[in-house]
Amino acid sequence: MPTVEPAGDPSLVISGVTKAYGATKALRGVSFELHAGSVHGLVGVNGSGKSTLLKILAGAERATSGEMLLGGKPYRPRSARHAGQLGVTMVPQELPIVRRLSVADNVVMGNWPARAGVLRRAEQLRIVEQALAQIGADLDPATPVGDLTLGDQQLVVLARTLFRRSEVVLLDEPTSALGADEVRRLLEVLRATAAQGRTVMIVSQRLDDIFGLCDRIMVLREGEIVESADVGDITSEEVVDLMLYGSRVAHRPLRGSAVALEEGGCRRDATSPALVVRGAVMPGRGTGIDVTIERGEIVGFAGLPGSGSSQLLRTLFGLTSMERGEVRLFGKPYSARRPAAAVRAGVAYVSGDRQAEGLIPAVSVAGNIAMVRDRSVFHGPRALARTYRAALAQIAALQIRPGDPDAPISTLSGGNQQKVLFARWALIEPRLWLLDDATRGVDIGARRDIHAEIRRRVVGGQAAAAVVSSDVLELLEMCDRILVFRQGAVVGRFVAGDTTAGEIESLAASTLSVVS
Amino acid sequence: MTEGTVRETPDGVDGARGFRPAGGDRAESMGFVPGHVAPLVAGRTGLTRRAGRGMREYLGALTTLVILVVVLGSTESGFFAVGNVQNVLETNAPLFLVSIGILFTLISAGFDLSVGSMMAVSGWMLVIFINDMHVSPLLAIVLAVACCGAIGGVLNGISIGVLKLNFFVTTLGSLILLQGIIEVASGGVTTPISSSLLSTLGNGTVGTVPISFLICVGALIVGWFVLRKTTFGRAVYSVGGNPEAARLSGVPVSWTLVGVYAFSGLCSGLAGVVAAGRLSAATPTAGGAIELTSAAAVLLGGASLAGGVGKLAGMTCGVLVLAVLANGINLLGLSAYWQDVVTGAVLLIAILLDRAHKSGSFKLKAALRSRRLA
Ligand SMILES: Nc1ncnc2c1ncn2[C@@H]1O[C@H](COP(=O)(O)OP(=O)(O)O)[C@@H](O)[C@H]1O
Ligand SMILES: [Mg+2]
Repeated sequence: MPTVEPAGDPSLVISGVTKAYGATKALRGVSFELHAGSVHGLVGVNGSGKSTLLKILAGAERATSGEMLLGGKPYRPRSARHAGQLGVTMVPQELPIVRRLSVADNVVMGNWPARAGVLRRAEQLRIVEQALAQIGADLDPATPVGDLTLGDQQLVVLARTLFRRSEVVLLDEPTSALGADEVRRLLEVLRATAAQGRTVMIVSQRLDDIFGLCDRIMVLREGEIVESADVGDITSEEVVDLMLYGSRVAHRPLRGSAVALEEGGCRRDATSPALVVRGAVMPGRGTGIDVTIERGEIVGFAGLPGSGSSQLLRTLFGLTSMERGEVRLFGKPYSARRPAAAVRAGVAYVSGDRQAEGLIPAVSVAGNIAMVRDRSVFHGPRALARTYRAALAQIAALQIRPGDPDAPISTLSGGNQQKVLFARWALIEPRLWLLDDATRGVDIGARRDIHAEIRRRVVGGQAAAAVVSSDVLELLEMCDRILVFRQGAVVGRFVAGDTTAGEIESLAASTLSVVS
Repeated sequence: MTEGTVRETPDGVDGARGFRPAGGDRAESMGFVPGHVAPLVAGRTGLTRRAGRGMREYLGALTTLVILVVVLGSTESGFFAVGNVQNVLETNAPLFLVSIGILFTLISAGFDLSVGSMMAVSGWMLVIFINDMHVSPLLAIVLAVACCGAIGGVLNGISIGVLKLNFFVTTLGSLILLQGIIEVASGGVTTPISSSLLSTLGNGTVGTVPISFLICVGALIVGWFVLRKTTFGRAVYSVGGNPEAARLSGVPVSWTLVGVYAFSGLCSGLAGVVAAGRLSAATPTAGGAIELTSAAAVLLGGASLAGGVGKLAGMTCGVLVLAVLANGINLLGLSAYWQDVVTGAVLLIAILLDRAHKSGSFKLKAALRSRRLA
């Protein structure tokens, strides 16, 4: 439980900060105070300006106008490096680590202990082990950081902020790609960091993280703080309403899945399943996996990173190979040796890792949407124009913002980029959707749009979906059934309405031997 | 590192209050509570593991080298003869020196195409200093090498590091520019330099050990020290591995790159001195296509065009593989043209094997197994 500490003098004060990117006003006059010893949560839908605000605080971007005070003195960081020297550090979503270098080198990166330029290894090891011990991270300093899990990499970056004695630590969506256990550990570390008298601010799409961790919650909407409250004085429903509509009382019906779920349930056709996987063994795994997904059904695969849930999706899309086993897709034998074959069979794969597996940064929104449908190089101008019109329809249907089809994709916020990925696949009317943590970092509003869109496409029995998500609550909200994966095997099968997040998480994390 | 010690550490709460500028070299004034030094066992096992992993980077080159030496040693009686070994070492000294610099640029995720021209510049400096200005040969050599370092640092380093120009275009420009200047200045002809010190560096021996080889060993030690034991070395790996992370962590990215290209200039300058010493003359074509041979050697030795990886041990193996190959072809009496054919083939095979080792073999095995089952 968070304890609200008596707030002393504010450590960081900002008033009237605005930021314009050309015609886009990312921030329209933001004012607040951060207090030492407290954890502050910043929430808002994608594109509301959260990352921009953090970047300005951490010196990575310059505010268009506005004042900032740090420890009572005017604060005008010239660069991220300068802000760091003044005691303000941001942990961006894209972690600033060098994967090839060791934990020890990464923790003290840029400030390697040295005398006259010559490294002092013993000194370095001592410092690093102390920094790691202080945040309770049990890591071997000699391990290359690239070999660590994402959660451990995050701890390395946190150890660095500790080593630099950062007074203000700003984290941009640190939990969006972590498993439940890693999230819990990270939140503990952040709480301990604040307890040492530092100021912590965290951006997250997961309201339960925010409520479990923070002392104060600030809601950002369209570049303005619409609410700033102690965590005890506000409910998560109110926060959602504030994020989406800007006021605490919004009587709009839920747009998405809650309504659609009911329709979905009754129209299912169980006579010939959409997907049947029998005895699938993936490389490096011993146990065979059996999965059946009916037509019109959405099935969630829960499991920690490395449990095999995501690996199965990647196998079904031909990204990795299967050692043994049989797959039937809508009654026909199916073996995807490569993604192109999977696409031809009507299988769509949406990954949350949009940079690595999805979007082409320099290409326009419409171009990115058209990519799969126009994959043939022989498409003529008429076909291209048709696709362009279809792309426009998708931009409208999924409420992609900004709605300019010719804007470069890199200028969209993360959640809108993710919607573009969905739009791309929607154009080919897939029969099987594979969603691999596909709503990672997507805000609650956009999530609902996406859930509703998937549900609409799956209902009616012409398609099916398999969903992997690091967020169990999302699976419960979106899916009809949930399978729990552990160590490459299915260890539990649930109907979404008959289980709880706690039950699924504890089963996924259990270290007992596999009973399948 | 037990739970208990973690909890007990008081975190220096009072020290953490207030805003103190966090400067660069505060290793001592970290403010950590002294007296808690965790056992280093974990670190040590890790270090051994890392050594093994480091070796894997250039295992291919090392294996190839051993096979070549064993095969040639047992079939060609002249291979281990003192004269032959001396010849191999002397002939390849410039390639080796250039490759040290190239390795640095590759680790920093760049490349230096201008090394060959820089060798010619170095030779031409010697002509100016020794023949025209009658400076003492030792001073002339030091000046020539220093000039090359300065040219590399300013022309390549500032352009790439500070002005953020593309390394390929920049060093290609330098290659052409410097080569052109040398051709103009020399009229395209080879100029003799009469200096006993210079020719001793190129051709002399201490006992049976060629002096040029000793220069290589010295440069190797200096390079190893810089790369492994200094903050500059760490910075080179960081900048090559993830420039954005390096920048955000306060690594001086621009100056690191300036340093890298200056260092590459120094290495080529030294290579130019040794090459001039071997001929007792400066020639505009001293470098030949050495940047490409050197790239082959260094990539063979496990470095990557993507940056962030590479070791001097690997680079040494890579150079030696090419050197022994060339010598073998010579000893077998094949035409020198075969050398390029074999070098190219070896490079391609090495990269293929490396690929198979890193990802493919796993897939290959899985593919074979599934084929068997089907
Ligand atoms: N470099 C940029 N150029 C143009 N527009 C940008 C840039 N960065 C962000 N924006 C715009 O600013 C707004 C806020 O973005 P961002 O701070 O990333 O939102 P959030 O982090 O809340 O999702 C968005 O409309 C986005 O499109
Ligand atoms: Mg953001």
